[in-house]
Amino acid sequence: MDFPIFQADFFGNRFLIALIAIVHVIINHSFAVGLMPTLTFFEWWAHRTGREDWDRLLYRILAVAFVVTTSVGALTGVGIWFSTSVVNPAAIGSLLRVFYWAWFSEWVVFVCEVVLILAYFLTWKRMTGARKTTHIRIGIALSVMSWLTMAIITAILGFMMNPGSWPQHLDLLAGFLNPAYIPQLFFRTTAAMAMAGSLALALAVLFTGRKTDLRSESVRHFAGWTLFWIVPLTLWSLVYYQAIPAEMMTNLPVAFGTQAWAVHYGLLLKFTLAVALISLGVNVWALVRPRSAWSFIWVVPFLSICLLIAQFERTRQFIRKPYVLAYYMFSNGVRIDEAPYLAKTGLLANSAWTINRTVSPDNRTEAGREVFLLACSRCHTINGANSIRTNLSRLYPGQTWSEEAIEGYVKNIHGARPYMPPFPGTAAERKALASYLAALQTKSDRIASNASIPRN
Amino acid sequence: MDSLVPKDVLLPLPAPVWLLTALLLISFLLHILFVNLMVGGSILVLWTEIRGLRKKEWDRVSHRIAETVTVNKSLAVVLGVAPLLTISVLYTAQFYSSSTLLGHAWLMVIPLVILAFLFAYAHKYSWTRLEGSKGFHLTLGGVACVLFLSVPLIFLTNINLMLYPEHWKSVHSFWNALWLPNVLPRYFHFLMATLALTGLFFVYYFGRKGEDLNSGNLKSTDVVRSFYGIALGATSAQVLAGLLVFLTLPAHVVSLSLILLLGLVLALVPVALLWLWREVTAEVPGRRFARIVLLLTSVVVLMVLARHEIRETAVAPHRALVMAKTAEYQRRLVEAHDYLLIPGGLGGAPASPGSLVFDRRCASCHAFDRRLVGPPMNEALTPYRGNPRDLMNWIVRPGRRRPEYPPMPPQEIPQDELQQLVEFVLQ
Repeated sequence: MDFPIFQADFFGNRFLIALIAIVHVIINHSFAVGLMPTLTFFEWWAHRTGREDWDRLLYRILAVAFVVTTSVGALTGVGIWFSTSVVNPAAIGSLLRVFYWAWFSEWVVFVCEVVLILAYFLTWKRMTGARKTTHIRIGIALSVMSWLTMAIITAILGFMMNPGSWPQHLDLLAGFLNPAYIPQLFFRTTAAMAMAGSLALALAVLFTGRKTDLRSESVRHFAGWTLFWIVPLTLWSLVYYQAIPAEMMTNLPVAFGTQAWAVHYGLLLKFTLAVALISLGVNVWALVRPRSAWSFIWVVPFLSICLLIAQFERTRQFIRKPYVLAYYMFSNGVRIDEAPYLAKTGLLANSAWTINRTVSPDNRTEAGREVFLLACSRCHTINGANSIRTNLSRLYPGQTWSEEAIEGYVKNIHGARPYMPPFPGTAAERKALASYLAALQTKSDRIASNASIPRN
Repeated sequence: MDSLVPKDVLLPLPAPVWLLTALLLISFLLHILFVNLMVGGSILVLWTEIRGLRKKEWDRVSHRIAETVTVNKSLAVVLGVAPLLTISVLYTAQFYSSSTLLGHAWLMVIPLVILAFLFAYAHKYSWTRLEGSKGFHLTLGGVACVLFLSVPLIFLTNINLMLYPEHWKSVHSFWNALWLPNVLPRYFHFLMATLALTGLFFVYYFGRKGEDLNSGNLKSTDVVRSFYGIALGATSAQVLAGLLVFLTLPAHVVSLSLILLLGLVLALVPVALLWLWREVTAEVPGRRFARIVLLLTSVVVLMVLARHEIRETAVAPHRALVMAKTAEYQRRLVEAHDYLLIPGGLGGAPASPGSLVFDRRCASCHAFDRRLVGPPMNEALTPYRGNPRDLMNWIVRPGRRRPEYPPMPPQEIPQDELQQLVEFVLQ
């Protein structure tokens, strides 16, 4: 509200954040948090049993993980900061004030993690013989650090969905120990291990010759590792599911797909279950008949588990709506406690980056456009992703969009759609918005990223 | 100007300002050190590889440099997170405003750095494999270098724009902001600092005891002397660049403490230049290394302080306005809440519970006698007169009866509310 408006006109702001965040989660969980303990465990086993071919294989898998985590992995992590601060500065600015020290500690752990992965990878070939034990210890330290960074961040993620008693007491510890924390942490830990097993399986196929013993042995071992972690993963996901606040669960059908897919919730659910079962089947098959398949089949578990975790993240991001920070701030950056005040005194008048401070008969549509920017544009575009024009034509098929009808809809929008925040402005501003939206039926509009700059 | 004073985030700072400032300056110093080594390394790796085309031994030096770049770049990124967090907390109103104004360019930092890193890896790991096609190999390094050079420019543009709220209105793109006075001189200054620091780093790296270049007729002292030369040239150029930065500073950010800090720097730099010159011309360079590093470290610390002094002087008036506006807004919010808590403060006649449910859940799409999103109630309810059960079922699990309307979404509604609602609408 009090920052300039950035708009990804085609992509949509939500998709921008989601894309960066999901890539980051996939890399973080599978290539770092899960893979480092997995590799360390197998390195220890290969060392104990004197398997040098395994040691070479593990090194090659680590090389891939090293390049991926230190480039795309690290930068998408920073990218979450960049994208959230550009899209919703008020939200991330508030979150940062609450969790500054958590993030600062995470940073210290993160520095250790980077130093350790550099050490772990760059000394693998040098630390042999008697020094192998030390090298394995570096791997253990690295695994602990990777897990710790996730443990800290998960607290913050849990807070965004369910802040416990924080809104009443503004107490950090209460926010940190929110009810969803432990379930989510263990869900992510076990998911990371299963993902790493599937990733190692896919990469092992890349680095071993067809029909070699090393191929069938690594296929069997990594599939076994994945299956071993799928059991606790299933249990923890059930516990986690129970810990989601009840009112957020009502968002689930829309969150899981999109508005258009909400009616097919059951079908989507079955599809997701099918993906999980196929992945499970391939892993079991790998245990029983590791030689008997085309190589590419061993990539299926990793791809499907990435798909599942991406779907999980998408859903998790959506069900906290209409809030961006649960029970504290709505998705559009308006805090719950200021919403009634804004409804009385006006959204435009209380925002720094507006040209029209009040609504008058001459500026109705122009002012409505600014209301749209302030109240709606964090989630909606005009023509791009989650386009407001598409939504309106779905509401009023084959009719002229009437200002009056739209105004009435917006007035109670939070009742009609539980995931929408209440309209945060005066009746005049609501009418102005309706006039702008109704005009969109015949005349499109393009919102540039610097749309909010007063041109006076 | 008035409209561009934003309110701050309405939560207290997580720590005293002095502590946050100290953390910002220290973590930034660490971050910029590795950024310098990363960017400077990516330039010098090209320079030495090109020299290696004629004199093979330099190619080995270049390969060693490439190995340092990929390590230093990881530390540069990770060490950058703390200053990013801290500046976001300390300068929320200014930093987030300028970041948002530069939105697209600011976001481009992420893909640019990813690409830079991937090219740097490709360049390093293909060294022996591409021995035969040096042109292609140099192109990989060249692309990495250009990418590495582009990112600091975006950072500088943003960090400069945040200091000058008076320009926010006129900035319509990254290119506008880039041409604000001071950005390009600062960039030039940064580049020279980068080369000076990296030059010194490689003096240390290749001058270490037991450092065997294993490279025939290129002596370690020659390599060290070359890097001393770079440090000397770049430090001299920095005096010039620094002058340019100072001359393009807006008058209102120049304070007495800034002039004192810069005066101190100007007193120390000639000594450093003299020692560097002695090292370049010495028979066996290296004797004065420790004291040069010590002196230049003090210069860097002074420069970081000067930079902070400029930022504080520039931001102070705007920050005061932001704080006043935030306090005033908070006061009015509290007032409005107190009003709400007065019994009868809102007035009006009590409505029936069913009508409240209707307003909350149905009124967006249904009116009594006209079409909104859904059909008018007087017409739609006709089949349910005297049949509340079917209506309840329909609300919870609606089908689709009218092709000219969008389908109604199923309503998650508690049983008691549903009862009240149906009673109300059938009246």
